[in-house]
Amino acid sequence: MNRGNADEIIRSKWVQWESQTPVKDISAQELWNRLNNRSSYNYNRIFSLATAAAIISIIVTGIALLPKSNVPDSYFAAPYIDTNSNEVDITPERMCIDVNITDPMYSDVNNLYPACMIAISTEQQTNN
Amino acid sequence: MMNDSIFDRCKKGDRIAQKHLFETYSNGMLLVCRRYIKNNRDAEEVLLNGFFKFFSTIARFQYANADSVGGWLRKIMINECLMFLRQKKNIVFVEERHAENVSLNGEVFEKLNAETIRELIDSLPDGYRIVFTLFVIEGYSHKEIATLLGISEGGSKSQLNRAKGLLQTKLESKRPAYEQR
Repeated sequence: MNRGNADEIIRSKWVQWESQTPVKDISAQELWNRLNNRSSYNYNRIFSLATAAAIISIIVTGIALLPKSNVPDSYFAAPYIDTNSNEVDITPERMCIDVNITDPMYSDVNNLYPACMIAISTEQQTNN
Repeated sequence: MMNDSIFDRCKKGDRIAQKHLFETYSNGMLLVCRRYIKNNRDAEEVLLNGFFKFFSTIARFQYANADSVGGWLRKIMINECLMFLRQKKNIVFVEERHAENVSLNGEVFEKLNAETIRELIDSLPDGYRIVFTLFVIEGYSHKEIATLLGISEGGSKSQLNRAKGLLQTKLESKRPAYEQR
């Protein structure tokens, strides 16, 4: 669609009207101040978000670096297999039976899994 | 006057240079905003949003000349105005059936004063007024308008023709009153 003669007339008159009409109720300085207030608000907000993210990151890293239990995870995951029946027993009691509790490596088993200790002592009494 | 040195300082976050740029363009850009947003306070808010975006993304812009800065700012402002109108006034630019080509009579508009023309355009429904302003005042093509508003080129043409038709009708009905001015 071509821009017609009327379009050009409207445009030039509109631009003329704009150039003659005061546009601002407030000064450029006041507008600039408002822009600066908005900028600092946003910068503060960005800073707050960045600070929060940094704190969360430090906490997560701290938790990850905490000393872990010296009981290997694989031990607790290993199911007990009865060699006679070939049945798998995954109760905590059965899974703990083969632990050598004198080994300092498993020293905190007692705290973590009291059920293990009960099962172990029961097993030892039976053997004795 | 804007130059590449001031622009570089703006990029580095120099507040004095940024203020200079703001003072150079804020008047013209407020006029652009007022073309779309009638309320002064809203237009000022949109202007400030636009400048905030401009200064936030200034590092991506390659300075060519003062006009290129003005052109870029104008695009940002028009986008901000359209976003504002969509959000605050829930304007939806719907596809319309094809409207017949309407040619406005240049001679009639030649006789009208600028303020009357402004009043006539301001009285158009928002959707028509926006397409009319983008095409006639800003000089955008239908393809550009279609991209901006998320409508088809045909939709943009239809809206423009309906705006012109309505303008013609308003003009005819009020012609004696205008001619007396």
